[in-house]
Amino acid sequence: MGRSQSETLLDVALRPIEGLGKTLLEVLQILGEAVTLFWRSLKGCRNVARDREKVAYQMLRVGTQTLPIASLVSLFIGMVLVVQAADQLANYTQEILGSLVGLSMTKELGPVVMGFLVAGRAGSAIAAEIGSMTVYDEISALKTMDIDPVCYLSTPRLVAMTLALPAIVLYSDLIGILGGALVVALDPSIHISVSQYFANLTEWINLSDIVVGLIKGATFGVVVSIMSCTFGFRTSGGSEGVARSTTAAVVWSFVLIIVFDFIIVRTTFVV
Amino acid sequence: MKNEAHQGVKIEVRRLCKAYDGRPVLRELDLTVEAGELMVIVGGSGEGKSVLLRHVIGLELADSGEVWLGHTEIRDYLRLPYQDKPFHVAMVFQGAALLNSLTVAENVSLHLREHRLYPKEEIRRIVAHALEQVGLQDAWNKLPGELSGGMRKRAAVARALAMNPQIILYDEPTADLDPLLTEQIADLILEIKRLRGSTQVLVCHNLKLAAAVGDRIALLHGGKIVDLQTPRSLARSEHPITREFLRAATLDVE
Repeated sequence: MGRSQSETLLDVALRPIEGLGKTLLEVLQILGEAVTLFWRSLKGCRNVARDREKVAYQMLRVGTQTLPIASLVSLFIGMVLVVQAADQLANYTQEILGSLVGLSMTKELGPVVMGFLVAGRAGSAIAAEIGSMTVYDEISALKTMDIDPVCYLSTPRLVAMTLALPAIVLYSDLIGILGGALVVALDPSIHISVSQYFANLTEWINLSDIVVGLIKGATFGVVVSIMSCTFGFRTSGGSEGVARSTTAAVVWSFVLIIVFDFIIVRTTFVV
Repeated sequence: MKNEAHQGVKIEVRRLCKAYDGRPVLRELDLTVEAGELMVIVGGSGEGKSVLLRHVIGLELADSGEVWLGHTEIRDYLRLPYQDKPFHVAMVFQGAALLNSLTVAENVSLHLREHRLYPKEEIRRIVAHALEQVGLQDAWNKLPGELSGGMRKRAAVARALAMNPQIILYDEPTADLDPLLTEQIADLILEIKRLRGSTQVLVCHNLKLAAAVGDRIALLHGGKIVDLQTPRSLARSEHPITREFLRAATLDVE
């Protein structure tokens, strides 16, 4: 009796470690599946010229799903940046507002926020769409017709998002900078002119800053499309499973966007 | 017709075993479906009927055992590029499994377009013929969401026919359909048999349908085929599980 009680206590004590191990294995499994899918999708790119209509359609979908809200978010980010920075800089100099907004938008906020936005809007839609297709045997139907679901579904989405996200980032940079300029023009507590704002911005922003933002955008496009497709393909368990996959795809995309953001920043600083 | 097969292919399932999470579903199952035969597999829910079909078409691979389609083992068959396959196998899924973002015509022509088998005009002709065979000539540009359950099933059959298959598998083709639509689907399956001579395997619960269309009926129970008879002789079978199944289904083949 005493022995079985001690075994039970040991079991209880080990349970968190067992849970941790299971979680770790699950994480490794997902990452493995994502890397495999990425590789297979890349191999499918050899047919991308043939499938350009599918890519264009996916780009259009990402654009229409994202651009309206991207405009609003970017505009307000630029405006908030100027309002907050202007207050902090009131006793120093507000002349650096242009470079502050420009660098923040192009190098960090534009790519990361647009990455999040695309993950939330287009990524979740992809995960839900492919998840439903998996649950309702549409993926199996493709396989019976000898159509590779990865080439048919994942490759066009990967290419489309990798191309679309940098474009959205560029658009976001522009709108954010204009949002900042709007506050500079209208807020009486800001003591610089719009032309000073733009002069400071163009003086400090290099092409490399914009390119880093675009590289981030392309990387996040890969991350969002691959994670969304990965979770779509591994969906099981009916409509509840589709909901679970959609949430997981968005959460994983968010986390990996931040991780890759750090890696890119670290790499570009070293260079 | 260029896009029409006239010969079925023999299916041989040998000592097929499959388990999920340690729970055996198929246990050394043996089944032979002759070329051009229409075999109906009946059995209770969860007995592994759909699992068997998924093994025949290669959507799942066996833990042990073999599936032969003609002279080709399924693993070898799957390795062949589409154009090099000696024959084609199509499957009609329980829920039709049409791609919801594509119109009926796009669904039916999907594999033809993806594999670039024919010029556009020829594809159009094949699709028109397949839709005509299932009576969906007017549904070209409709999305699956705009179709009734019976029309979706018929569109799925048209998609299968457009593949010009020598083997057609049906997974519960009449599930959730009323008796009139069930009869329509049964007529369609018999028409395909008459016109094309494809080997057909149909999985269903509906013994009346099984008796109406099947050359032979196989009863799947406990992971094995426990009884295999023509519809007429099945009704007189002395096998206890068959008797029990028939009693429950009140089969009337006379």
